[in-house]
Amino acid sequence: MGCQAMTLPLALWAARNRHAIIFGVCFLGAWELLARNGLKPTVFPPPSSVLASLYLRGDLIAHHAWLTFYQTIVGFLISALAGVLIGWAIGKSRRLHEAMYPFIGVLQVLPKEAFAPLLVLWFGAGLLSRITLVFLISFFPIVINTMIGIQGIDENVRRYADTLSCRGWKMFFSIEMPSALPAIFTGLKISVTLAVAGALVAEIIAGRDGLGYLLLFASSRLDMSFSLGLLLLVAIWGALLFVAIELGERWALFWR
Amino acid sequence: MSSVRQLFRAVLIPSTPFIGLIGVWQAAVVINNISPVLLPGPIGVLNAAIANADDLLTATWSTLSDILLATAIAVIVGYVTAITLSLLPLLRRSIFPYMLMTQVVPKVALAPLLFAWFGIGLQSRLLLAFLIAYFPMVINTLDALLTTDRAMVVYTRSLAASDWQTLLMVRLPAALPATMAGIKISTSLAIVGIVVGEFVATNNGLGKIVVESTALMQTSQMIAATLAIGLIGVVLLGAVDLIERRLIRWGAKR
Amino acid sequence: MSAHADLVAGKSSPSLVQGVPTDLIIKGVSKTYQVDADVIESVRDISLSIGQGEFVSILGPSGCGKSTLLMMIAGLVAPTAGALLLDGNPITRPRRQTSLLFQTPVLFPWRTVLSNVLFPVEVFKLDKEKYLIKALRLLKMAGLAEFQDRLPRHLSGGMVQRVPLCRALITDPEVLLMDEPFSALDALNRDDMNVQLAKIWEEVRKTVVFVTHSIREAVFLSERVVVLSRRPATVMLDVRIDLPRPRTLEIQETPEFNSYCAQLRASLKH
Repeated sequence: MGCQAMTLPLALWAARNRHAIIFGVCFLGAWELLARNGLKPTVFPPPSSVLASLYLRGDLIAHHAWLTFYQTIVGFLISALAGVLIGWAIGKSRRLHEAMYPFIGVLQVLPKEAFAPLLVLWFGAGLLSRITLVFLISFFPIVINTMIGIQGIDENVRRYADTLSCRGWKMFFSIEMPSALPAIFTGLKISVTLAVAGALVAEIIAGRDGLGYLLLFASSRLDMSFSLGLLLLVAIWGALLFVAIELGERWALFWR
Repeated sequence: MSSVRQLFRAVLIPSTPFIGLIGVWQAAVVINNISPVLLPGPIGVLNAAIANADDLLTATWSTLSDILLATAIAVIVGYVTAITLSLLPLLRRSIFPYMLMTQVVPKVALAPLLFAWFGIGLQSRLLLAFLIAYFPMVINTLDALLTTDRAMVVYTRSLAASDWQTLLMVRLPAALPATMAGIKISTSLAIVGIVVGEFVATNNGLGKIVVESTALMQTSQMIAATLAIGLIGVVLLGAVDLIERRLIRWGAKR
Repeated sequence: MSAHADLVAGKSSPSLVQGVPTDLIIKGVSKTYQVDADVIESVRDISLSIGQGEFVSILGPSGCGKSTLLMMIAGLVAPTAGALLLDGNPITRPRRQTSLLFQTPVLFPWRTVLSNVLFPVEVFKLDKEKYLIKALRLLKMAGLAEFQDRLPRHLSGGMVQRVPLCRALITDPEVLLMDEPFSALDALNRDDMNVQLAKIWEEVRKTVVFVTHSIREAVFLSERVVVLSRRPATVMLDVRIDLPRPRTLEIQETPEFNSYCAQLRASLKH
């Protein structure tokens, strides 16, 4: 019964996106055929061997993947919390905005990945330096978007809240947060994508463990199947996180 | 409020966090007696920078020019791609969904792979930066080209204008704000690509200096190079922002 | 009447109807849309003939299909049945002879006022130099001479709506099609624009098809008002407005004006 309910929307989706689906299938098929028969399998492995390589190294991947996932999520969550709070503060207070906004603007524009070697120097090649980099990279979009969200609250809504003597925590939870949520979620979506990239950059530079390290390991041995497999894994991981935020947004903004 | 006070306010208050940061930095180093190998004070960094001015400047120029080249290629190819896809709906429906999907994939992860395939030279760095910076440019521009104000398009069609005329005279100018936003994003991503490329391949530019000085425990030099990279970022993006403001004086909707 | 009937039946040549050279002929035109699973009949069997230099208002309730009719005359939408003829030639696609004005002033924000007015000249690949003088003259007539080098965003609401009018006139079209061009304006600006339009029309005497849902506006501006029914639109009433020209705002107080309004209002009630 659940299956039947699913097939109609699925069929509609497939029909609407038929060009992309056909293209994708043809592409994968052609790749598989060419790789098996023509192109050098060491440079361009067929999709089947890419998947096989992942399956074969399951345990190895699991250990490193877990580290990457952990860093990404911890760094992201901390930056989300800090980002929303600080963004709220800067959005609310004129003085704070005047003082801090140019500073934040400059920091936002700095390529934070450039600080990866520095962080590794200070905090070692372990989790701390990498979580810090993830934090630094994902922090700014959240702060800025939260600030925009808070500032964008309709003046009339504020006045109405004032007439109800709504202040402090109540104001925060029942008015400011809900109004700013759409902008906050935009910031979260941007950040989560950056966080995934940040974790990998940190691992590549730290070169000790994690999926980034595995990538270094695989490419140094010119093991293309494994490299592509890892990239696929990373891609799926990035997509999952993005979808998670997207679902969170739909749940939180159910009134849309 | 007198103009002197206004200037005071406009410059001094925003500078406070920066000055504060440097002050705290210097104080922390002195008070805790931190080893200069771990964290040299701002003065130590400045001295190292001056001492190695030649190397730093050459490296800065090298990194900067690589970034500019990568940005230019990504922007131009991206712009042309967006125009092409806007004119060819079949091609667009086949490939564009995949382009959107690449957005959640961190293309920096391609760095080790690219260097393994194509060697550690400029071509790999450029390719990495290009791959990272290209897609947002296409997506931003194409989205704007496809969602041009309907009324404007209908009006232009009512003049029996050709598709080409509509593209050149209406869609492209209307898409300029989104194009500039795309250029901003592409620039910052190209910076990431080149810099990470230099860290991994360590044969050129400021990235090389950073990695080498870390190995040689020359922390002042390392911080100086890192700050130089940061400076490139700030200056480049500031420049793009200025260009955007001068080009788009017609107060477009954002 | 019979000449008209002959014309609609396709029997006589389309150049004269009741002694008036005819610009625009609409023959049994219908339009049906398919939206998802629904079939929406927008216009049903409308036949009209509009003479050269006539100012005709199309009056009807909101959503009745009058805009669709205008779009068909402009050549942007094809009829599902029937035909539209301009000067005897069927209208199958947008033509230079017809100029369209929208509800909102569709101006390009990146172009100056003058540049906006010259836009059709560029599209038609005509000599800009020649049309520059004409553009300036039109802007002067509309009271926009000092704003020629400003960007649209610097103009107030009332002023902005005058630019598309100049732009529509610059290439000397045969027919001006106006789709509720003043409905977004406040009452004062709307009255002002009506007076301006009447003045300009009295000078250039183009054929105008003016869609509106304001009875007073229709009576004030036109020589003839055609009332359309609720969707699907059909012709309910076709009234000649015999008020003196030049039309001034005071005419709106006269009993003749109000009796026309009453007549139209009654017909709209059905």
